[in-house]
Amino acid sequence: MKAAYFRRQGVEGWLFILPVILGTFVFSILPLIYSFVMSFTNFDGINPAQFIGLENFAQLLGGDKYFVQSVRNTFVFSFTSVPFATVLGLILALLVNQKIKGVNLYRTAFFAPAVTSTIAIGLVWALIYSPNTGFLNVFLSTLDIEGPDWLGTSRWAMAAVVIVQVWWSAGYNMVIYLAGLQGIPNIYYEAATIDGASPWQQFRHITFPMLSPATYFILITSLIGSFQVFNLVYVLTQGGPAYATTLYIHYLYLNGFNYFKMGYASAMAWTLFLVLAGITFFQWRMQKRWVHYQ
Amino acid sequence: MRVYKSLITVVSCVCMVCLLTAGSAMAEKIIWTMWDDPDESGQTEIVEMFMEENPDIEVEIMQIPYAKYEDKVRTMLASGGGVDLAQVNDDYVVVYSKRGLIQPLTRFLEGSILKADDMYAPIWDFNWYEGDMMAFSPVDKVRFIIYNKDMLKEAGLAEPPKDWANPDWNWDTLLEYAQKLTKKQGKRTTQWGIAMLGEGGVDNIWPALAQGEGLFAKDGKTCAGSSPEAIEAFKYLGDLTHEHGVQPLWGEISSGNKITNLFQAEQVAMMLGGSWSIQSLRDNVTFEWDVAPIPIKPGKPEFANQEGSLVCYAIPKLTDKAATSWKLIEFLGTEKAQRVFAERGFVPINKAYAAKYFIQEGKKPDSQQVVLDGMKYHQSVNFTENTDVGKKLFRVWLHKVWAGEMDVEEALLQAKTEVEEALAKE
Repeated sequence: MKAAYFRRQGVEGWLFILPVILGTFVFSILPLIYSFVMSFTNFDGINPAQFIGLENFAQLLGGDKYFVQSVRNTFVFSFTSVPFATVLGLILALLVNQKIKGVNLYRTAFFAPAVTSTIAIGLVWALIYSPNTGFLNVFLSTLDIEGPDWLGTSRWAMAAVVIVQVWWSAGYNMVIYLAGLQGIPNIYYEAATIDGASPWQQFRHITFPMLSPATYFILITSLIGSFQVFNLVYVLTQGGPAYATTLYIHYLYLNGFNYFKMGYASAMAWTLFLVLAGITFFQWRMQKRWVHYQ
Repeated sequence: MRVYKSLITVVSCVCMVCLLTAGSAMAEKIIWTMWDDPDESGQTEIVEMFMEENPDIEVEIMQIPYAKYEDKVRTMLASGGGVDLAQVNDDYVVVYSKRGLIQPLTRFLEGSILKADDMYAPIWDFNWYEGDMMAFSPVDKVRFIIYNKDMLKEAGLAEPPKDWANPDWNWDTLLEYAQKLTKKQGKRTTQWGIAMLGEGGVDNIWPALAQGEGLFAKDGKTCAGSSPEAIEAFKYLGDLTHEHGVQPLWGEISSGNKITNLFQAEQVAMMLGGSWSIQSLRDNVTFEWDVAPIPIKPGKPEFANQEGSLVCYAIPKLTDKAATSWKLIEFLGTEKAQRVFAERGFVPINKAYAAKYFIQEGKKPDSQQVVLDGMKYHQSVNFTENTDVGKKLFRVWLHKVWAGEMDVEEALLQAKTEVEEALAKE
């Protein structure tokens, strides 16, 4: 009787999660397997694929200078935007963790970009960056500084994109840090105050170590996210000028959908997966040295 | 008893659904994809007329924004679902034909109202690949210079000549006009004389003005955009920004839309535009504007040209409604459809209908004849097997010139190697 009850419950449970399982299988797992197989072919998205072994991977590593440039751009983008957004998120969290008037308004304002469409953000920032009439250069001109052509020159375009990414993601990081800050027991600060620790020493030896799980989470998710940025760059610069802001995913998209090289794009996708898995594994191994759980 | 009641309810529901959908089930439905705004460009009106004449056919227009168009439509074409007639970028007609995404239309031509002799030859011929007609272009979107009449008047400038290949309307005159139209306030420019760089046709038109052929040579394998004449032409364009300061910086005009926005906001006095701008300007601006031919290179009236943007419609290879889609294509060439296009500033492919309907009395621009005459100077990009990729690679280097980061000769000679490598690929 009891066994039949549990069996029936089991069936019902499976039925409840069946739509999710089917959806995951059809829309995630199958395409993953399919793209893995395609990465060893010259599939153009239309005609039957032909097996070409490791040729796509060999071309990635040896013969495609724009691929190399997209990798370089992505590393520059990720390893500048992620640290800046993390530090800015922490600073904002420390600021809005104070008991000041209207603090909720500040929190909302700083978090707002994180819930705004990246397309809309891109369009607004494109106006801000406009070299002649944009807010930024008009503001700089009041300081007698001639602002550059932010999105039109290779020298500045990447910096411009990084600034937007930092602005967009700092609010989200702030919320994570804020949750972390509010989870630190006050007793540590009280003891430190009695011992005569300065605010900086309290931050250095209590706040920062206690926030290390939040920092770890932010670094992992932000880094993975930054390797997958597409919309923002697509709207702001379309990868230009002259591939200066073409990130990995954008180049993958160009190959798959513009150049009819779906097999090559699949090889790029799997290479990215391996790189991200490697970076995440490295971070996971390193966390033991600097992440402190209570 | 309860079972019977349920059964009756289900049967009643099924009957109702059948009755409700009976009307649409009788008509054969085709889906027409496009990035053009169908209300602004006339397709909505044309489809209504078509369905009135063909009550057994239902046409659904699916408008997809240009930025996402290629991805979506290519997926649809490759999978064979969701599209029966597709707008195709003129750069992609050959690629799509080669890869078997669209089907030849030649078999439908026998007995058709569409006759080559009635059409503007360069437009009609453009869509043929290896002896087959692969798409149909009902109109040409002619390119020309659009200018703000009020600004010219204020600067004391006469209106430009209205005839193409006029020796007095050349690059030097254009520069002179642009200089007089540019206004500065301290270091800031408050009004630009001209904006052209981000307009897609400039890459082919300017070298063609200098040497007779545009980006690619007639052999389809050589990059003519890197010849000494072409380099001089591109230098002229770059100098408008970096040497003379009469054109906005690249970041501000890196697309046709940005140029149009600046023009509409009265920050630019003259721009390179085309037929697609006409209806939009009629609807959205209050200032006086008119059009002029594209200026020639001094002393080279024989190379006067404009690369009109062709609106190409093709039938996917995998649709099973090709005959119905052809009916609609054929309808686009009828007098009534061609008239609708003409009313919106597009030049009909049919010469007689173009002459009859294009000039719209009382409508802007005043010099509509300039647009119509532009058809005689239409010059498409020379045929290659890999136009799209060739253009993209060339632009990578060209954009470095537009950004003022590289010497034009150095950039374009590097472009030549990459482009010719791409053109050599089948």
